[in-house]
Amino acid sequence: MKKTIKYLLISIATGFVILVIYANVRLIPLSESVKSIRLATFDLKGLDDKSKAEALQKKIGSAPGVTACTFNAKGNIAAIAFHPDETNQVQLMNLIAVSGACVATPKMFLDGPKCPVDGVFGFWHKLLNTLRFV
Amino acid sequence: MKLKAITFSVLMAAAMTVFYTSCTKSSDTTPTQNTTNTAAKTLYDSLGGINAISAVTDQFLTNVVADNVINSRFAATVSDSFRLRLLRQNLIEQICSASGGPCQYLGKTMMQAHKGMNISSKEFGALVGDLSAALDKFNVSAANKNSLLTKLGALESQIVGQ
Repeated sequence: MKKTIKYLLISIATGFVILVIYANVRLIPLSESVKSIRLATFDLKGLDDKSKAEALQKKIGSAPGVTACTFNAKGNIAAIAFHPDETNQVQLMNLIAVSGACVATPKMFLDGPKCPVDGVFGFWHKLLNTLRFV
Repeated sequence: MKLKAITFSVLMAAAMTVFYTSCTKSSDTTPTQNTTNTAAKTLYDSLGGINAISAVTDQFLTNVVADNVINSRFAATVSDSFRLRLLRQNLIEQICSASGGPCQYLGKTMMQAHKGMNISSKEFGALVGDLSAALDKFNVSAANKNSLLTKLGALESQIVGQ
């Protein structure tokens, strides 16, 4: 019994060491060199036409920390990509409100069929990035 | 004696891991001499390199999330910051690789990734439209845009109806 536990612990330790080494020597994709973003999605009220949407899109698109945005007047929805260390969802919502063009509230998506990036795959990559120190 | 054997096994396993990942690294950096790739590399450079592709990808993502035809498909991913990061990286790598850039797409195959989702032609068309709009925003030339959309459009059969 003692020997079994001993070998089990050694196996776990070995596996962990291998995981740490792999996390630090694996090929890092070029895409990981670009700064990460978050996405904020809003339901819109009062955005009547395409020209207003384009004007608002231009204004929000040039705000600090925003990398991209789309204002869909027909669908009453907006999506904004931003750097989380430079701005956040609340600031963006206030920015839209200050423009006076419409009212934005955070969008809650209904549950539905899931995107290809499954949770297990995401967890594995999160683990590798946590173990990386090089 | 046993401790030495265990230590040796651990070091061998670690060395094999380093060897395997190093070999994988070197094969990815081998430059290709194919003349077809010379023209494809120009597309990557024409688009503006990795930062430009990243900007196009961000615009594409916001177009998709603001598109009521398909945004519900991405709800779970965009609400999780790490899954969003992975999706974005996969998209950047695919576009970079399709335009002949120094990238290797390391995600699942399109068939594996979309298995069981029963994506329709209408949804795929909406996605292509969102990508086209993103490329238009950055004034990508018609020739480069068509070249990229043709390469990515070839994935339709692996995505639709799976």
